[in-house]
Amino acid sequence: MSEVPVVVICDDDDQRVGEWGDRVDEVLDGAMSVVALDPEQFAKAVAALKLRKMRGKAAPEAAQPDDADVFDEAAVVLLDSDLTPDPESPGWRSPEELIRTHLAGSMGGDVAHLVRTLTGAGAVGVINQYWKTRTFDLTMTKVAHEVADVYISEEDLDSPRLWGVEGDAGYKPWSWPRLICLPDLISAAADACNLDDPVLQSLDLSDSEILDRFYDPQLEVLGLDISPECTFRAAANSDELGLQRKEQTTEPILKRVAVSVVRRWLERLVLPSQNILIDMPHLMQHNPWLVPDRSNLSAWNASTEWWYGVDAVPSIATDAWNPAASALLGRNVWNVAQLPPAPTRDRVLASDPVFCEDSSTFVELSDATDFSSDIAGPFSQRFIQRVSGVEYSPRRRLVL
Amino acid sequence: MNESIAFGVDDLTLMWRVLGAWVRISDRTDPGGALGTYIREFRAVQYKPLLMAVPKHALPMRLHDNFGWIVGSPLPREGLSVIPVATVSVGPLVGDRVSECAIRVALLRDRADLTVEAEGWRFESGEQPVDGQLTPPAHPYCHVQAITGWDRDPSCLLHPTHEEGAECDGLDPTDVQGVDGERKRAASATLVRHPAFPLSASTLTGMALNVVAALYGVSAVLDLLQVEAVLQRVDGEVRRDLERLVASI
Repeated sequence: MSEVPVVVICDDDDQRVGEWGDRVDEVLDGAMSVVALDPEQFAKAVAALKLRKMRGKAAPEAAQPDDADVFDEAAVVLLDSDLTPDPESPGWRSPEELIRTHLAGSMGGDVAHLVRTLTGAGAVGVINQYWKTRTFDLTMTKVAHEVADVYISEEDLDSPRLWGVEGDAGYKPWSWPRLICLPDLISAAADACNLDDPVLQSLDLSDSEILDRFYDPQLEVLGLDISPECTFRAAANSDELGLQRKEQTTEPILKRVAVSVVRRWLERLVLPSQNILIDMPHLMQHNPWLVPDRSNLSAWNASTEWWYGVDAVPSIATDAWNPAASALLGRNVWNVAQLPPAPTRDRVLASDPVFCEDSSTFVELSDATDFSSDIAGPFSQRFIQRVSGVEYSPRRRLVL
Repeated sequence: MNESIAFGVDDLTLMWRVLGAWVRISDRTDPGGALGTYIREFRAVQYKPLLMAVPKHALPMRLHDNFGWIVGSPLPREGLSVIPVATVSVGPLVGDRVSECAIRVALLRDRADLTVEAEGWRFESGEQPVDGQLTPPAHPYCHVQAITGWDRDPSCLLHPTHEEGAECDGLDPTDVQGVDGERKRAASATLVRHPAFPLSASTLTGMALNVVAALYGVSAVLDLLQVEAVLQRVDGEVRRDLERLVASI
């Protein structure tokens, strides 16, 4: 039976969650079905998750169905960050009752952790955790250690470029995954995951030449500084990104946790620094001689090889391409240590465009603004296009 | 015809990009020993990483303003830890051009007595004609020459430590008969005006690139370009200065 994947949207405000659901439904246009949980359903589902946690069991091994099943069946779960209703909202009741019947006093990030570690949900996102309006994080590190797969404002919910469906140009942080593809990607990786396999070896990152390039903080997050043989099981139990102490879950869900942990580690703590892996746009920016029809700006933005799985094998630097890491990230990446040296006397030219992190687009240097991010290592300088209607924070980063 | 950008504000901004990128690619590993102690104290107390995010509106700075220091990666020397540190002085704008600029570089290394000694050089813009003086300046081009003085305050890394505000020349002025006395006599023979070696630079940006190339070689210039995408895309005079360094690569 072919089932349409489900997006579950959760908020403390009955009216708003319905509006959010309608907007997501419109942009997905049938590619996924949308369920907007009303606040009381949501509170019951979270209560069921807490029971699962207390019993040390997750859904697949639980004897009885529970209210958290809605998360098990979801391809994408989107959670509002602040789950305390506003006094002006239609559903406002006494604080005592709201704590009993709703999730007043709770945070979406905490629920995201429960969803990730106790259910079979696909991708998990948090809405409005840092900003309620469309805002680009110039530090590029704000969510580095957070649990969800994506953090957005409510203005981003119906952005076609968030979901990876057809849409016009504009705002699309390069850090955003193609959300519509992410559940299948996580499921495939979890199905293939052997929890006792070493992470670095499985990702083809265990050569000493590569290990020497890691920065200490990158290794420390997963305990790889102490044990380079860290397995997916150990990664799933890592303090910073995985299960918390005393938490238990089932083996199938532990695989999802492991995949999520390693994926977030790669995407947020390894890939941005460009010391171990580099993705297609940044590879092109640093090595413009790899770009066919280099003098044509449209050609830079027309490549189909930015994302994993669109073409079988990328056409450039194939010896350095890392298929295992690419599959996990959903975007093609290359091992930096194995990239071929620049051809003699090939230079970056004044006419070569730069990649903008806020629009995921190459533009002429004169149309871009550079800024200093907090990304570890020397490649902290990045560019933005300054998309209309987008806030940039912290603004001081744009002074230079 | 395009107007020259040399010594203009755009050139100055690009120079800061060179120095900022040098900071970014520099290894921050503690060298240990007395040198490590000095570097740690220096970082804890004095270091202002202004070169990584100096506000545009703050440029150009007055001559001899204290920008903070750059601490570079150790130079490759067998069995010896040599750390370059640098400071920058930028003169006032005359019209739309920077009147003068100097990048002072000192190489710090441990001595057997657990103190630190230094050798210094000054990379600077061409000397300007002096009003009323008939003879032309000796070095009207970008050049580098050795220095004995390092009159920055309130304190510095150079051996020996000295009173706040007092001149520090990197040598122990009381050591008339010993190691520093001999070093000072030897240094005096080649300082202060000659020799001044011409640099292959016609811009401030080129001068800063020459500092990096002089210390580490051309590979460091290429490393620096890798992390500074704006510099990679320069054109005109700055590109020519850059290509003079990396043309063979």
